Amino acid sequence: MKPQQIVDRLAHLAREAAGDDLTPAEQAGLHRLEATLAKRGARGRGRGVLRGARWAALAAAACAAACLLFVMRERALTFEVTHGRVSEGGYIVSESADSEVRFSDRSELGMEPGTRLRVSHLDVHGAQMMLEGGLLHVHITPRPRANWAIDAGPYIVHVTGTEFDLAWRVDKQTVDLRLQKGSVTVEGPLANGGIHMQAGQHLVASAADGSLSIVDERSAKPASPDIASGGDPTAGRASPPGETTVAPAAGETVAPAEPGGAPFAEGGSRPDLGHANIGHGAGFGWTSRVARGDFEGVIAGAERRGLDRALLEAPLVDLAALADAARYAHRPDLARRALTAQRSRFASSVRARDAAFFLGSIDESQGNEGGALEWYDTYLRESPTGAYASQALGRKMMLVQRLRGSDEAQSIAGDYLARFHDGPYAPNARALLQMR
Amino acid sequence: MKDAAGHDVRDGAAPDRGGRVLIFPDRTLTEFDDAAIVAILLEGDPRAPRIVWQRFAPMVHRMLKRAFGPEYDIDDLVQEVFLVLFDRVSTLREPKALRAFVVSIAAHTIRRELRRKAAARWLQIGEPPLAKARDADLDSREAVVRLYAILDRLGSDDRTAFVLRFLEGLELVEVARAMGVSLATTKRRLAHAWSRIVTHAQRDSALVEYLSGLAPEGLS
Repeated sequence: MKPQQIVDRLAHLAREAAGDDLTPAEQAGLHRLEATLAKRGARGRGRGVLRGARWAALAAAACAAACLLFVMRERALTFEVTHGRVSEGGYIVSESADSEVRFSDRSELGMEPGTRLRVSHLDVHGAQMMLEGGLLHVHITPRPRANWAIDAGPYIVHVTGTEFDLAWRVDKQTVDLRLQKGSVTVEGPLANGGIHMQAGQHLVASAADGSLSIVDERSAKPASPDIASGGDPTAGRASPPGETTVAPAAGETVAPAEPGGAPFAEGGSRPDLGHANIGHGAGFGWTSRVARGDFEGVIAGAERRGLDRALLEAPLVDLAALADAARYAHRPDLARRALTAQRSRFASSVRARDAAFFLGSIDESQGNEGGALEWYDTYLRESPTGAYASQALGRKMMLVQRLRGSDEAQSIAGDYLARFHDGPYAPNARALLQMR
Repeated sequence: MKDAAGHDVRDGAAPDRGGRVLIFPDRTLTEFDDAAIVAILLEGDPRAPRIVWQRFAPMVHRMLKRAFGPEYDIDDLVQEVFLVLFDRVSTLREPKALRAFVVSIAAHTIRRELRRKAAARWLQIGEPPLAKARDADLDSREAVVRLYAILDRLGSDDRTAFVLRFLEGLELVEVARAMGVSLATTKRRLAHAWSRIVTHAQRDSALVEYLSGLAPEGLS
């Protein structure tokens, strides 16, 4: 072989071996980065810190050398399976009701009959698994830097240490997660940036119809969805297209709520979250609570203060957090008020301009397409190169097509492709232009 | 009702609050250009980590995986690249050069890790992780192991230059900029790396045989 061919083919081999896409575990690095930056932000950043870090690194080098031996001796986890079949590549099929996967760090996965699981990667911090179908009862032993991920169809559950039941129905493309202890982060369709779940919450998401709901079940008796035996975790949920009405699964008891209300609706027996009042000077602390997934807690905090007062007095970041919490907890009216307050009180801020986009989203979600169109226009006028410009223009294109016909939408499609050639609405724009 | 984009849209009256899920249109944070990303980094915008990650994480992971092999634990190195980026973005004079800046940080990280690996080998601390191809058959797995064994024989500078030029496909000037050396030095390092890799590969008849069997049309 010629030298050029050798190098070309070796390069090709290396590229193929590495792959291009991020694995779920690699994607989870974002959370680690955010946590590190948050810690560093609390300590204060800057060159002084960097210089200090360099000196600290030098001073720590001796310790690191000593620790290196120990660290490098760490070994990846192992696992054993009882009452199940294991084939090469970590593919496991449960054969009885007491099938179990036990890891060397004492983490355990109970598998309902018929459940299919693949352990695709093991390292010292955890494992990466793929639930191909069925129901898992998961107990992950909390450890420092624990890093576990379970793929269920297009959804990924990131775990550090916790207990939960996770079901994936391939035929319905539905994931069902009941979190008993700890916290997890779920990524997947409609979970932009990941949804942080806390103990007592129940998530049902369907990749097929694009719905996702989280119900706080701390006031309900726990019950396992009967999936592996052929039951449907979403049984009892009457779900018109594009809308999911969350109802208790078979055998599940839910605390009384207002007529027509879901378990998390106001008037239901919401648990006492025990939130402390924080003085205005220190901010309300709602941003971090939204990041933890405590949407109801943020709303409850605002209601305790009095919504009018909170909307009038909350700092911008907390106001934005309240709007986010309201959107995530399906309180569009409150979200609208918080967003409107952002625009009126902090008119020159980026968040106020972004609020126009979210107001459009809410209007659109509630069927007020004319109102949505106005808000998207407002956003595009105020933030022509803003973070949501592509989304706003794309949504506008779709709405105009519906409201005023394809001819008018085609000019927007041309504009969209010129500005966002690979944007999320580019296929729709191209389809529109091909109709000419 | 779904529109052509697949988003759920409500018809009719406002829903009652209980149990209804409002589907909001998907949002993307990746449509910032480099200058805008630099601006939000400098402002300390809380969205910055996510936006930067979405923009550059695939590239950084890819560079590091190609540099060290698919099975090497690069998680800490990736974190290091992004933390250095956050620390040093204020030194970036041309915001539009953000991508090149990230590439240079990744190149620096690769070089330093190669030196650390070499020192660890010299001290005989632990076994270096075996490079294995993902989802590859036995032959290609073995070939990848042999490839990275050859790369392990290169110096850190030569190997980094080789990775950037031949595995990442950067232009010569981009390699030089990323490594902070002149074009002439870059060419010298690449020539040295090329020569050593070809020499070692030609001595490995099994590897050459495997490479000969790769379909030319499969090469990029």
